[in-house]
Amino acid sequence: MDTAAGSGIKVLVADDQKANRHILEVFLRREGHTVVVANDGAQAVALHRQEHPDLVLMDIMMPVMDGMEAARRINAESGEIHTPILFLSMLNDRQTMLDGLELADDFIPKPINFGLLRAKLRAFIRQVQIHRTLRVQQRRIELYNDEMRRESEVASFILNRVLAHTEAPNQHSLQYRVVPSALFSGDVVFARRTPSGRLHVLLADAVGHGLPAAINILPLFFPFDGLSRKGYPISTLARELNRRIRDLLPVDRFVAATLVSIDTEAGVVEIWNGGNPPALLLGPDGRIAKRVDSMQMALGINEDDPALFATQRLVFRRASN
Amino acid sequence: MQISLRTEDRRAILRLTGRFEFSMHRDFREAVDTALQNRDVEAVVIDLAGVEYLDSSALGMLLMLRDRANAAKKSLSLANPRGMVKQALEIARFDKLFSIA
Repeated sequence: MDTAAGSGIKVLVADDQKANRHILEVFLRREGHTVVVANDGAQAVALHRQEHPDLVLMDIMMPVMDGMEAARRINAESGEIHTPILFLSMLNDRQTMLDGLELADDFIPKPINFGLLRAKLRAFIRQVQIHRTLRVQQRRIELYNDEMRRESEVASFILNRVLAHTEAPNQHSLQYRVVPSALFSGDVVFARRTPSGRLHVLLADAVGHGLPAAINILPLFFPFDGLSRKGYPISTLARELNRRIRDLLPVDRFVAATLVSIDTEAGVVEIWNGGNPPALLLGPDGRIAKRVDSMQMALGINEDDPALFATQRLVFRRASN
Repeated sequence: MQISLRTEDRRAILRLTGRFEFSMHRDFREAVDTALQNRDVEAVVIDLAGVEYLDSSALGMLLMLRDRANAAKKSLSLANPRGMVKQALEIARFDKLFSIA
């Protein structure tokens, strides 16, 4: 019988008296529950382990192992989800009841009043159903988390492969530091030398984290790399990257980007800043010499109008000159 | 984050308070749907006075809203950004897309 459906639960009945077992079994089956029976405490512990009942109805005075000891062991073995135990006993003096309630969830005196038992079962069934729902939800959350983690790993993997194809920014005496706030945040630095020796750098920051951010970043790499290798100016790159993001991604996705072209021979830097915090040019004294604020919106939001991709040109002198 | 929606003078005013970020995607969408489906509404105003923080997904939500407001032929404006929120909108240059009062 499938106890997962309906209000039927699986009940373990432990009593050394055959007549008692029988009467409880008949009653419980009629109520729509599944029943497992044990003749003593030791059997009850073994069956609890084997059958994972939702509820235990147990006599206290039994041979081999009494109900108190069996309850103690069942409690110790119930893992995260506690199996409720209901004692049924003729020992209904105050002390036995108190001792019993230390170990079990409730106590019903014998002879059994079936009206009382039915009422108590209702409360336990509600509890069992809440546990079941929790278990299902917990499992769903675990699966979801695993999936998220795997996706995030795929995102990191793909991006690391892409980054492996870019020139290591350090090889251009470019120092940078990115501080991601998740396994993969949408922040990347790409660098590529043009044929005439200018250095192109892209600092990109996509909406969100994880796989969606990686998907936002990916369409940028190949055009950045290809156009830089062909020597196109960064105004062309910015326009092309904007078009890519616009064509590929939904309207609420965009990539804030700072594109820089550094010409050390001429001592000129060209900058396009779309949606990023200001780019700072520091003088030899370490102070801010120039500051280039965000000029346009992030890549993917701007219209495809060349005027929006005009760059700002800064002239600098190297400290040694 | 909380959203309250009131309508006056053919304007739907969505008043946001707290942190405007990814976690409130669903609530924002529901409030926006209600505002856009109201035939009497001609203008949607997002009141940001009570917002203390806004992230890039919030900017995305505003872009999405703008698209849908355009499709529904309703005007859209942002009102009362302050502090960090004002700064974030400036950096994003959203003044180019939205009327910000």
